Amino acid sequence: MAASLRSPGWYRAALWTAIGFVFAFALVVGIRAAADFGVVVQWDSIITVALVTMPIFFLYGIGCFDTWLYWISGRPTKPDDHSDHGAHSWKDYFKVNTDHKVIGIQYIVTTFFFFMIGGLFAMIFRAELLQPGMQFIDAQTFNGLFSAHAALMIFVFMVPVFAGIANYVLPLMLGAPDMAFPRLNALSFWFLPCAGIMFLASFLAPGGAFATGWTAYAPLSDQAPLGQTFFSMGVQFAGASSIATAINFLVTIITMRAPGMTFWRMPLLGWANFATSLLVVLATPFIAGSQFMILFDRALGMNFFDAAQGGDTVMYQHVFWFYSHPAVYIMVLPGFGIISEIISANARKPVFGYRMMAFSLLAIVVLGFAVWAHHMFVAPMQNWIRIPMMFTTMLIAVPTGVKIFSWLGTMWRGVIHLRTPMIWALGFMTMFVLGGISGVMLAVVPFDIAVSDTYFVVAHFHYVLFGGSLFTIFAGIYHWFPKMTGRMYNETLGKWHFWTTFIAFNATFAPQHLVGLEGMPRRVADYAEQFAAWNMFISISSFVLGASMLIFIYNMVYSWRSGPIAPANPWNAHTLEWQVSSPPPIFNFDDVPTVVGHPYEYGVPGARHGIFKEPEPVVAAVAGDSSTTSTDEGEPAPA
Amino acid sequence: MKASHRIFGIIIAIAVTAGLIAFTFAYDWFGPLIAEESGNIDNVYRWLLVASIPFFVIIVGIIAFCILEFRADGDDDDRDGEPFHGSTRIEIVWTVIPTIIVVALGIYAWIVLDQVEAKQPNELTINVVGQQFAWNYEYPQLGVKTSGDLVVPKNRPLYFEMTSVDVIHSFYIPNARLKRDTADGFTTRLRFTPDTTGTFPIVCAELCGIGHTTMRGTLRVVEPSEFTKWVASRKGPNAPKPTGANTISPLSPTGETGK
Amino acid sequence: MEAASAAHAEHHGHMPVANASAKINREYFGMVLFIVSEIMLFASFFTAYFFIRVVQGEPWMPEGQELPVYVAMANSAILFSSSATMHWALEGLKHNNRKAFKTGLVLTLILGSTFLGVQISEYVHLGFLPKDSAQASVFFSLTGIHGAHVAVGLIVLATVTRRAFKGHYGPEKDKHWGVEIPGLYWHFVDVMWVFVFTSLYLL
Ligand SMILES: [Cu+2]
Ligand SMILES: [Cu+2]
Repeated sequence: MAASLRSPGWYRAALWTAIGFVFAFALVVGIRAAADFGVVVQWDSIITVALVTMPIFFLYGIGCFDTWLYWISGRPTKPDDHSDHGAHSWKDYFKVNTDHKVIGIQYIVTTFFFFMIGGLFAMIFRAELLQPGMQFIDAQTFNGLFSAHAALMIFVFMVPVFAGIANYVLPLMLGAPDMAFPRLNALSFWFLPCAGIMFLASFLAPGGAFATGWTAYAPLSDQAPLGQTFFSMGVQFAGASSIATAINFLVTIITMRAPGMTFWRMPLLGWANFATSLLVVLATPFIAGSQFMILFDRALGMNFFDAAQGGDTVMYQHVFWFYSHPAVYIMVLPGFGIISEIISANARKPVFGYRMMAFSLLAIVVLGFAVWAHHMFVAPMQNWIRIPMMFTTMLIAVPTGVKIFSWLGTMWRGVIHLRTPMIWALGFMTMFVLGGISGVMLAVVPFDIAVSDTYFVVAHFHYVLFGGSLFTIFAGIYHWFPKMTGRMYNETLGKWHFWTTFIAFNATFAPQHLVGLEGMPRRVADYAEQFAAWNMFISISSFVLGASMLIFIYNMVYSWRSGPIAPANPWNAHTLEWQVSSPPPIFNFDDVPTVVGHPYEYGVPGARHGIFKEPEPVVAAVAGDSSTTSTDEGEPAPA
Repeated sequence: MKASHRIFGIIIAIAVTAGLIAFTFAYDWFGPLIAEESGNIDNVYRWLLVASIPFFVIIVGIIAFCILEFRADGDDDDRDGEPFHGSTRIEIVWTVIPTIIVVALGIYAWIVLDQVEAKQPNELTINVVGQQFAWNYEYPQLGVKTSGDLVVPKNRPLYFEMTSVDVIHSFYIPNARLKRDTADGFTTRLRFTPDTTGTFPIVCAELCGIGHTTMRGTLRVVEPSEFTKWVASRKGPNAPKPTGANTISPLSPTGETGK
Repeated sequence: MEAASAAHAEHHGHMPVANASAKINREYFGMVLFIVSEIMLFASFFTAYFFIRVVQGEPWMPEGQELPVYVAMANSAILFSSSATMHWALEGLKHNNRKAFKTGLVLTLILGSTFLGVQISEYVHLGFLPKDSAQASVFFSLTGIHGAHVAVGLIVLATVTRRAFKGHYGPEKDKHWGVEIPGLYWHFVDVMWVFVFTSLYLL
C-alpha cells in the first residue's frame, strides 16, 4: 500500500486529490486569518481554490508530471524503456500512457462517456418540455441541465473527440512513430476528465449547477451561485487540453511527416487537423480570457462588466465569440478531413480538386476569424458592425460549398461501396447542407433579428453539430474501428444505427425550425399552448434518438470483444495507416515508410502512396506529379 | 450511364425544386404579422429559401444519382473509379456562382434592414427597462408609466429606447419579427408601426436567470381613440401604480388579432 | 514543460527516430506556437482594455487612481536589461564561455526577481484595489497575468541555472536548446511588457 501510494496510479491520485483539497483549505483559511478578513472559513473561496489545486494534484498523483519532475529535480529519470507505451490489457487504458494510439482510444472512450451523460441531460429536459407547464423539475434545474448539456457536448465531447480520432490516426497517416510530444499528449488527455467531472460536480454545488448556458453571458454569470465557478474553471482545463493538443498536432504535421510526404501529398485529414490546430492555437486563448474575467469578477471582486464602474458587458460577448465562432470550425473541420478520406476510399476515386480542398480549409480558417459578431446582431453593439459581419459570414458558404461539391465530384463515376462509414458520410453531407443553409439565413441581419435566440437557432446548430460533426465522428469511428481494435464492426448493426439516428435526428430537430419561426424562444422551461403539439413530437423523437445510441454502444463493445479479426487493409485504401497491421505495431512502422505519390490515386495504374523501402531518387524528386510515380514495389508491411 | 437516366433525374429535380418553392410561398411560416415594414423580413426569409432550395436539390439529387448509378456490385467488386483529379473550369463555376448569389442576397438584406430601422415621422417614444423578471415601460411624451401590459395605438410609428437595470434581457415581439437586447449601461433602439389591433406576446429572448421563462408580457394594440382614453385613465389621481411585475398570465398565446 | 521535454527527446532510445520533414527544432517550434497562444491570451485582455477605454470612452485612469509612471519606467528598464543578460548567457554558452553563461543566468534571475518585487510593492502602494473600477480591473489583470508569466519564467530559469552549475548544456548545436527555449520564453515575457507598459502607463 505504501509503495502504491508512492508510485503513479489511482491510489496516489486519490491521496493527492485529497491533499489538494486540504491545501486549498489551509491556503484560504491561512490567508484570511493572517489578513484579518473576518469570516475565516469562507467556503466559496475555498472551493474556488480547490478547483485549481485538486485537478493539478490529481494530475501529479496519476503520474502526468513524474518524468518532468525527476528531470527538474536533477534526479536521473527512469531510462525510457517504454513500459508506458502501448496497451496490453484494458487496465492499461486507465494509466498515464504516452502512446498516441492508447491516448487516442482513451480520448474517444472518455469523450463518449461524457457524450452519453450530456445526451441523458437533454432527454431529462426534453421530458420536462413534453407538455406545457412545469412537471417535474424546477426552473433552476432546467437551466442547469441545458447549460451542462451544452458544456459537456462542446468542451468535453465534440472538440476533444476529434483530437482523439486524429491522435490515433494522424501519426500513422503521416508515417510518424508517435506525436511530437508524447508526454504533453498524455497530459492533454488527462486534463479532460478533470474538466468533465468539474462540469458534473457543479450539480452538487450550493445553489445548483451553472445555469447561464454555455455562453455564460456577463453580468448574469457574475451574479450566479457557486456552480458558475465550476464552469469557468472547467473551461480552462478543457481549453488547456485543446491548446496543448493543437501545438502537438502542428509540430507533428510540420516536422514529422514521412520522407517524400510533401504538403501536397499529405492526406486531407492532415490538412484538416492542420487548419483546426491553427484555429485552436489562435482562438482558444480568448475563451480562456473571457472565463478569467468572469473568475476574477467572481473571486477577486473585479468589475469588468459592471456598467456603474465603467465595465462593458458587450465586451464579454466580443471576447467570447472571438473563440466560440471559430470553435464551430474546430468542431467541424476535422470532420471534413474524415469525410474526404472516407468518400475517396469508398468511391474508389481520387479526391476531386485536392488542392482546392486544402485551400478551402485555409479560407475557412481566415474567414472564420472575421465573423464572430454575427452572434451579436441583436446585442447592444454598434449597428454598422453588422453589415461587414453579415457579408463575411455569408461568404464562408463559398469555401464550404466548394468542399461539398468536390465530394460530389469525388463520387461521380466512382465505384461506390455503401459501407457504414460511407452511409454516415452521405448522411453528413445532406444534413450539413441543411445546417449550412440555415446558417447563411441566420447571417442575414434582418432575418436574424427575427429568429435569433429562438428554436430556429437551436435547430440550426444541431444540424451543424449533430447532423454535421457527430455524423462525421460516427463515420470516422466506423472507418478506423478495424485499425484501432483489430476487429471488424457489425455492418448490419452499423446500418441500423445510421437509419434510426438519421430518422430520429430529423424528427427531433427539423420541427424546431418551425416553432422557432413562430417565435418560441430557446432556453425556456415552459412555452405557450400553440407550441405544445410540436414539442411533444420533438420530445418523443429525442427519446428515440437517445435510444439509437445504444445500438452504437452495443456494436462497439460487442465487436471489440468478439468481432471477426480485421485484415490490415479492409477498405483497400492507400493512406499509410492501412499499410500496417491492425492494430499497428507498438511504434507504428517496423520500417519507416517512404511516400512516393499522392494519397488517393485510386484507379491510376501502378500508383503508390507509400512504400517501405528507399525510393529511386528520380521518383522522389518529382513532387506533385502523381500518375507516373510507379516504383516497383516495396511490399507493404505484412498484416 | 444511360442518357435517359440523366434526363429523368433532371426532370425529377426540377419538379421537386418547383414544388418546394411553391410550398415556400404557400406555407404560413411566422404567424400573424402586425407591422408592415416587417413583412419584408418574411420576404427575405422566403427568398433565402428560394435561393437555397436548388442547391439542396442538386446536392441531394447528385448523391442519390451516384448511389443508383455508380454502386459497386457487392463487396467483392474491386474495380476503381475513373481517376480524374478535378476540373479547374467547374471549380471556378462553383466558386463564382455561390459568391454572386450570397453577395446579391446580402445587398437585398441590407436594403431591407435599412427600411425596417428607418426613422419615422411623429414617433411615439416608449422607454423600456428590463429587470429580473419583468418589463417596465414609460411614455415620456405622455408622462405615463406602466409595466407588464404595453398598450400602443394602431398606425402610429413606435420608437423604443431600451435598457436594463440588471442582467441582459432581450425585448422580443414575435409578431413584429423584431427583437433587441437590453443591457445595463447601453441604450438600444427598435422601431415599428403596428397596423393591426389585438393582443400579442412580448417575450424575453435572452437567458436572464431563473425566471427567464416567465418573463413575458403583452402588447395590446388599440385604436387611437381608445389609446387616448387609456392614457387619461393612467394619469388621474386614482391611476394604478406600475407594479414592477408581470400582471398578465405568463404564457399568453401568439397573436389574436382584433378584427 | 517544453524545455523539459526538449532535454528528454534524447531518452527515446527505443522509439525509431522520426523523419525530420522540417529543419526547425521540434521543441523550439512548440515553444513558438505556445507563445503565439500566449499572445492571444494577452490580446483578449487588451480587448477588454480597448472596449473600456476606447469604445466606452472611460477616463484612464479614473480620478484618484493614478499609476506611478516613473517607478514603472525604472522597473521596465530592469526587465529589459534582463533580456540582454539572458542573451549574453546564451551567447556565452554557444561560445563555450561557461563563466559568461552562468553569470548571465544569475543576473537574469536577479533582475527578473527585482522586477517582480517592485511590481508587488507597487500593488501594495497604489492605494486602490481591483474592484474599485473597471479600469483598475484591467490594470491588475494585465499586470497580474504578466507577473504570473514572469514568475513562471523565473522558475524555469532557476532550473536551467541549477543545471548550468551542475555542468549541463554545451556549445554543440543539440545541447543548448534547453537554454535557448526558456530564453525565448523570457524574451517573449519582456516584449509583452512593452505593450502592457505602453498601453497602461504611457498612453
Ligand atoms: Cu458563429
Ligand atoms: Cu430573460
